[in-house]
Amino acid sequence: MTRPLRKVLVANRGEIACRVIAACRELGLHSVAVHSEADRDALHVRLADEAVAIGPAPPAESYLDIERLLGAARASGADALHPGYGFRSESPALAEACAEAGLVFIGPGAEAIRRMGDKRAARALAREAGVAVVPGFEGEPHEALAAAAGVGFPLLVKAAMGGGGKGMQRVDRGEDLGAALEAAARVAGSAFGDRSVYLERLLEGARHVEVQVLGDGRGNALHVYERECSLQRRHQKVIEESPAPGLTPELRAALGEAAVALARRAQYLSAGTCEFLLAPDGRFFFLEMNTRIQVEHPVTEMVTGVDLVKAQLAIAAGGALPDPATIQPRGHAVEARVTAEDPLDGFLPQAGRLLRFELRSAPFVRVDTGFEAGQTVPSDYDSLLAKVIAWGRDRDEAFDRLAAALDAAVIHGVRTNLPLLRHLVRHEAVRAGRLSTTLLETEILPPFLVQATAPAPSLALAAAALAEILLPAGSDAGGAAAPGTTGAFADPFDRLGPLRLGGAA
Amino acid sequence: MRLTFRDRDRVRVVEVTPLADGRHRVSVDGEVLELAASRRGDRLELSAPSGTVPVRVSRDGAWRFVTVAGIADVRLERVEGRRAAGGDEASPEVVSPMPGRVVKVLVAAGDDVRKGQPLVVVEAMKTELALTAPRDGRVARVNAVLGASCEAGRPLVELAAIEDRRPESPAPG
Repeated sequence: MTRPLRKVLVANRGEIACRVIAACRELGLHSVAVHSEADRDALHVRLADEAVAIGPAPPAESYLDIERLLGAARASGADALHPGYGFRSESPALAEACAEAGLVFIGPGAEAIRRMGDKRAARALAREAGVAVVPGFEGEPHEALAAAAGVGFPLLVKAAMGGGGKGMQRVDRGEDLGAALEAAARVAGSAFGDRSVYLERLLEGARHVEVQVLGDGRGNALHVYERECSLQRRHQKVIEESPAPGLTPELRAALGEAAVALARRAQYLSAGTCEFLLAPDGRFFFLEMNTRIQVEHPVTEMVTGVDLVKAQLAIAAGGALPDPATIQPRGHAVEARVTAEDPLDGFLPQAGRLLRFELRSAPFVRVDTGFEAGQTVPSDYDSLLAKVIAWGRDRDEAFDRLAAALDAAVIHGVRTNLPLLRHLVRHEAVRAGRLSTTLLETEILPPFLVQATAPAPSLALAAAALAEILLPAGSDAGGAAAPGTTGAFADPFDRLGPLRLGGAA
Repeated sequence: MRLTFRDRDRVRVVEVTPLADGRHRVSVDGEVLELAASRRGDRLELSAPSGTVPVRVSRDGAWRFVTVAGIADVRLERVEGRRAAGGDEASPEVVSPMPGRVVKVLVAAGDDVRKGQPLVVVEAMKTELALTAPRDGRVARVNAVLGASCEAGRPLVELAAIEDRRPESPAPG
């Protein structure tokens, strides 16, 4: 059953909106961007064939507002909606509203989103599919105390309807469990509107390895290999790569098979990701399933050649799944998330105008971004500025290329995590593949922060001083006095532009 | 020529003396570098005897963003020498370090506050930041408006000294 799509509303912003628009263009589909007032001049608005304003800057009144999203789809005559990631991408209500409005939702149906959104139900599904889950307990809170000993310590109390590590409580001793249950329930209630929690054994030294799957909603599914995402800070991924380093072929195959079994059992539709914890002893356990395109999907694309967003669109149109026999991973890919956060100031988010934004692609280096120089990074949304993805024939070549690309990157106007990323891709433990989900926070970050708070190198001060002298006062385009122009240290002759030829100026 | 920059919490003093052929003697906190500086398109190129390095400098008000490829990626603040020297006194103004939205206003004009006490909570990019009193004092003015957006650097609360303070009594409110 095929249902050709014609026009896709992209219900997102930033780099992922640009990514979806690019896939639409390649497939000959019209794209419709939506934007808040803060994003009027954003790149995704200019890249799309059409754009619809959907409200003021706060997400609740624009990108999260289902009525406004559907209104934009109606107004533009779109026949499909791509939710991207974040915002309403994992909201059953949006998928339901699309179905009611006769719009094709690019993703699984509301039922699958709801089921995977409840981590307890997702764990039950994994068990049904014969996939090991992290030892845990999903019963009533008053039984949790008795069950905890069976789960084992240390353990985590997690929000059943949650994500992103919010409300998660670590418990090392039985006597602390009561308080942790209460604290986790309180945060879960305010953040997710549901106080349900469950227990999960904390596997120390584990890695986060996830498997990309595609399903056709009729019980057919395949995997597109795995991604290693252990380098995280506060449960936010910083560096991701594919393949996961150091896996035996048997382990790799077993991970893929487990993910496919789960996707088949769920009769999963569209692209999804099964997250696993990989224990130091080589055992792996299902963690949860994400029912959307992932931020880190490009590393999979780079090693497999599968365009995952195009695959989503093709599946939504009723097309067939790719033939697994045609998917042969090749080489290694690694991604760094460049964010507007200052590692030296507690990762405080930064907003402001981008005076310079030089992130250039290079041979085997891909840059996914929703920003350009001169644009303002709004304070209303997440801090992702760009993803830099490098491919290499082997892991070292990929990391070396990423390191060179990060070295050449220049972002002025907001402080970024670039210094940390440059440090990470050269770090000895990272390069050796000695990864765990706590490596970044416990081993890498503390010495990095000490080293990075050293005085700026004298050469930087010398450069700042020479710039003051060599650029005549008042000719600088930067600062609030000249909105819309960049404050780059530009050669005045470059800025004169074509006026010089006319001679009239 | 003498220039002063703030490098996070440090004051850095740079003296530049032009030499012949576009070369400069640059002294940074007493460390002397001899550099040839030239402009190339929109970049500055610095040449030392050890080699040439491309540099990017951008200005935004007093801020100077400086990237020296492979060596430094910093934000400096150009300051007047006098202000830099006397800048240790805690400011009576509480400013938001980031643009965002005011999600809590915890004090009112006339309240006595202690150093470190949260005054206003600002949210940006899903992160909440509590702005605290830089010193003991009395709230002279609250400019923060609940739910309103705020710019970076805009004073949200202004403090005055407490004149007739009785040290033993707890702060009211």
